[in-house]
Amino acid sequence: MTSRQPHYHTALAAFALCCVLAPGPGGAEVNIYSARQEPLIKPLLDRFSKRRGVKVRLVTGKADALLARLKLEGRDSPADLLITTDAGRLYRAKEAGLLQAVESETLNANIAPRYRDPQNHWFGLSLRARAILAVAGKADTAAPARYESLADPVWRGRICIRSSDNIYNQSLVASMMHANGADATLAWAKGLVANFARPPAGGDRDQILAAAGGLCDIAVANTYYLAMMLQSGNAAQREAAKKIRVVWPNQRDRGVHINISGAGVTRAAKHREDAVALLEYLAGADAQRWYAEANNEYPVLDGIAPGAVLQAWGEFKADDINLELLGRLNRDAVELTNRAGWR
Amino acid sequence: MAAVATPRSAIGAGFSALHTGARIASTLILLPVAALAVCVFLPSGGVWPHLLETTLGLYLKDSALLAAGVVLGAAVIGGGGAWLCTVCDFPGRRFLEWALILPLAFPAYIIAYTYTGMLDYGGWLHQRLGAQALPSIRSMGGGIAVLSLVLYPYLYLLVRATLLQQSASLVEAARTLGFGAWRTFAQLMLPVARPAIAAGAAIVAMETLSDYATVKHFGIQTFSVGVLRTWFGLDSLVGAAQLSTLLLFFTAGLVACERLARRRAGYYNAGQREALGAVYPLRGARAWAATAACALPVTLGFALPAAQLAAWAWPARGAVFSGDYRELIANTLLLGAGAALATAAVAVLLAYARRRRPRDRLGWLHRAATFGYAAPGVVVAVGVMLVCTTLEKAAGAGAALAGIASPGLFLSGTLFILYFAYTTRFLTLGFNSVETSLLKVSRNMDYAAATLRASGGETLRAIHLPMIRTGLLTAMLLVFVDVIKELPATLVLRPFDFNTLAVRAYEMASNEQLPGIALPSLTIVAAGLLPLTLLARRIARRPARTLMRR
Repeated sequence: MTSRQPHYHTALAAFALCCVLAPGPGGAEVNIYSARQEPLIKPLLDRFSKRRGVKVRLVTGKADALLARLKLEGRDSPADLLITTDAGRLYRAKEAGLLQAVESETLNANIAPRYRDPQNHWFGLSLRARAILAVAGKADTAAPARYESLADPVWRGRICIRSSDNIYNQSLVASMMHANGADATLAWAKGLVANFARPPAGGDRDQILAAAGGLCDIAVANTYYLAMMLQSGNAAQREAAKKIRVVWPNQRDRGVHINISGAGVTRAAKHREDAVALLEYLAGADAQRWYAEANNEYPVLDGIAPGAVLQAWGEFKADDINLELLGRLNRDAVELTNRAGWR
Repeated sequence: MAAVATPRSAIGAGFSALHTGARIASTLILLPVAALAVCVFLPSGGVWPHLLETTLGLYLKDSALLAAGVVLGAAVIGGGGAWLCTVCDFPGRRFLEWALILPLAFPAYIIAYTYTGMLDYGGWLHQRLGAQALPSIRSMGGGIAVLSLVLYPYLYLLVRATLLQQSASLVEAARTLGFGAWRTFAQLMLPVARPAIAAGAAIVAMETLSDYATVKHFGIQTFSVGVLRTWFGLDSLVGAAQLSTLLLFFTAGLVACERLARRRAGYYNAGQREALGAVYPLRGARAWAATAACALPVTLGFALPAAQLAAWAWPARGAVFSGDYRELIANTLLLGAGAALATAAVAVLLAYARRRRPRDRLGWLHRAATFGYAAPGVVVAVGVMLVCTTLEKAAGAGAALAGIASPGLFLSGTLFILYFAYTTRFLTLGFNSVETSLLKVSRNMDYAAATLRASGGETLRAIHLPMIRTGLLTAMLLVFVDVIKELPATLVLRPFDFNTLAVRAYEMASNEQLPGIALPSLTIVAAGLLPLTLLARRIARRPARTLMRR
């Protein structure tokens, strides 16, 4: 009977081993909490690591979950740098006292004031444009020239856009609240909801696919998704993307809505100098070129040309509000979409 | 009564280490959830009036519809499958009997992504059938279908285990009375399996309500979506915690119902019986209909999505052999194995403490400790971080008083915090399985051991653990399979540079690169297959025979 018993001591020892196997800290390093996914940031970090001889360690995750971790860990937090994919979360981190000011001539020179925090707590590192995408032959000739026109009754049942849970939509709404006021934006959002071809589901790429598949005539999405689809290894994705025309909205007034991916040095940073050096590297020509070519985003650094696909869509006028406003207005924007019934 | 009272007091006396340990463990595990509940008393920054006015009704409606639909779907597939495979015989039964649990290896969101990939523009189903011919899978119906397909194995496992424990003579008696298969099913087996169905339904409902990724992908507005929208969008973690607490109360209600259902079914293993097995051989069309009915969920919930993923992954198959990928697999297994061991240990501790002192005043602690299953993983993760950082700060303050160096963050960012989170989240799977097996061990065993003056620890080791081995193994395998699929808690709590298969699949999915998720997803499924096969072999074994052999 005894010999048939499972080995509980072995099990205990195995568990202890499982706990001990956690990787330990090393020497000179920069530790990053990143809402940007590993494939979209790791290559740059590796290049920086090689150049400066500093180890770079990474945890990726959802921005707000990482913010909660940073906040709870407090001044003991190992994180030196916080990377997000929108300005709203950086604003939130700053408001929560999780970031610190960085005075750097390189950063000030490379990044336009509207793409960084007024007190230099965070910096935009790449730009993404939210455009109106029209199905060629169906909607491009009469495509809405402004975001505001998306609420026009002619587009009833013809628009695909993702959930307002998504930060890009929340930021777009925030920018419209800033431009047109809350009441007009609420009326607009209600009109937009009435024009949905289907209840929002999936991501930006899904909206483009739905438009290409004939479910709707207009999709609203960030342009790098369309660029990725055009360069996709999958023939169906390329074929779908080719049916789509990019329409730059609001060219006669405030311009296309822009958001950033960006970063800030944490207040708890133990490796401040290396963290600032990493920020400067990310805002420099080498990294900016990579953003433009590998990621199909628009560089923040003037003089770096966007990738070939982006150039083909031509230049456009961008909304020049300070992106801090997107953070300030984020909660109001979400409440507004709740009221409008935009799921 | 007096005769019963004497051995019970003998059993309850002494062995207080067990009860102290059980209380510490259940308190620790309850803390992250309790931290959420405490938020009920904090101001939420005006979130509630806004939610009441706008979206709360929608969250309630979608949650109720989805949970009801999935429970019904899972009960029909899981319960029906268990009945057919256990009591009837038909072509392919021996294969389908274990194949029916395979969908458990799939993370629900992966099935969701796979089906949308097949049905959306460019997918092969879309090309074959055209856009108009297909119902939109991104809908309530799609969500119910996908979640039912992934979750029914829980019901299947539980119902099958219950059916296998029934004496064959019961069904024989029904046959002698001239009952057909349907009548035996409706009048005999359904009542007998009711506790198992209730327990399974509770698990399925909790998994459904805590799911985020699948419902998000389909645009269904459940409570989980509302919780995260309140947190991420309205920037109110307190409001989100309050919504989660509401969800937990709802779950507590479900659990109470399940308890009630089970209380009436307190039968212990009465000793040796003849095993129940395939007493209704089906013939002709009915037999093939049974084969089709069992093959359909296996096809839709496993074979078809696995084939699609394999087709997507094929061009990138070489990556499996890279060092990076080996590390992903090793990390995933490390988390699964550690969490399975930790959860099983805690489950035994709590279930055994409960058995020794069934009327313990603090018994509710053990029950409450299993509620973490119903909250969205990322919310549980925040609760766990709150508990750990509070302990760390207390230790730091203590060190400062004592004049020694602060230990810093000795829990955060280690594997321990991950195991803590998994135990909080998945304890109910382990606890249910262990407790149910313990219930089947006759109390006469305890009394006999007490008469022989065996201590509680000796009794546990010599009698109970060997007898509940199958239940214990089931607990560990279920937790293992769930942990390797788990994403939100893993994502935020993990140490630096620590990636798992689920994390990789998520990063590919959030980059909206559907084919990119294929390879890591298939590997998760493959890693889950081995434990599931073990599980299937265990449940195929007739318990009566196991008893006799011993």
